[in-house]
Amino acid sequence: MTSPAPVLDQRLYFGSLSVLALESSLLELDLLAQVLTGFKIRSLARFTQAEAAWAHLEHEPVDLLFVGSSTGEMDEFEFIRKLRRAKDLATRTVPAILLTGHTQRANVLRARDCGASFVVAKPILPRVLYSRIVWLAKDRRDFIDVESYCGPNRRFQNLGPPAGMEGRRSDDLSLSIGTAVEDNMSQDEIDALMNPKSHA
Amino acid sequence: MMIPQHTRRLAAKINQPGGITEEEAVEAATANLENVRERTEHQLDMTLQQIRAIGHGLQSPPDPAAVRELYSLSNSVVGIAGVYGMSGLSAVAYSLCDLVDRLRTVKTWNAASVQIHIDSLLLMQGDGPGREHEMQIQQALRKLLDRVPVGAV
Repeated sequence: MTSPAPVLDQRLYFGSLSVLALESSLLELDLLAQVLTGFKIRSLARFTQAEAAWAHLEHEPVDLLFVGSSTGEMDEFEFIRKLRRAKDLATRTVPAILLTGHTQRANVLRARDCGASFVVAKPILPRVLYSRIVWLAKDRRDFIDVESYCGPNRRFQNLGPPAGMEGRRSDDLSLSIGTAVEDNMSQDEIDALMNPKSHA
Repeated sequence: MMIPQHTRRLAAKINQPGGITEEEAVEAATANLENVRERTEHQLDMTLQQIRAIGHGLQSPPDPAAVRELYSLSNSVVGIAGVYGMSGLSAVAYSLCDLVDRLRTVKTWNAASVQIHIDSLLLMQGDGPGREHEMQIQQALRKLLDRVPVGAV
């Protein structure tokens, strides 16, 4: 039996959240901070380097992660993948929102497969960000912890297993993308890809 | 199925008393963004100059570090310009991201296509060339982009 999603008040309090933001562009990091402080988030640790963000995660509790581009040795996908697999880290299951400007389908799938909780297409618009935080506070997806994947349950819709893996179900579909020219994904399309269809 | 611990924790924290409505949160965040608009636009101009400088320095085959930087800066422009409603600039930056990504994936380089994108970005700076011309530029870039295949994942 599925538990109902938590019921949230009309007035939400973000003041006690500990938030970490990783973004290699200082300017984008500043814009994100402007939005989050507008939400009255008080504890915001900002980083432009993944390694420094990782050191913070090892010592400080975090309730919510925002990960934009990371140009260091660890890119944004690797950062989240490492977090999800860090079995000694209390924050490994923390909701992680990946922010991306380039929402080509392959990038969105990479984000999903590294264990991101949600992908938000840039630009970072306050209303979109607010609604995604609220969505994550109602997220009922299990945390999957298997050799090939750690992160929120991504087995939803008929998208099948990750590329390179054999499906276990007769209706599994391949995620391999060929050379056909494709459109980039809108936020609605990204949401449809990231949102679980059912939790049964 | 139980609600996962991370959801319970996040929900419990934001459900504490003393909160604000969505409208209040969005209004405050929008006001904060407006407060830094001028400074951000100035820095955006500097970012475009960086992109121009990288474009001038690119040889064929290009330095992979310079290509990464070009992609990263273009990605930033997508995010920053879009926040302030500069949709033309954001769309051209997006197209440049797409182009660089495709060229990297198929392991080739087309300096002319990249330069056309960079020139188009610079045209969009400030007030831009006007809506009609912006649309024409975007359509031309789309045709250019369609000639570069999307690589296999």
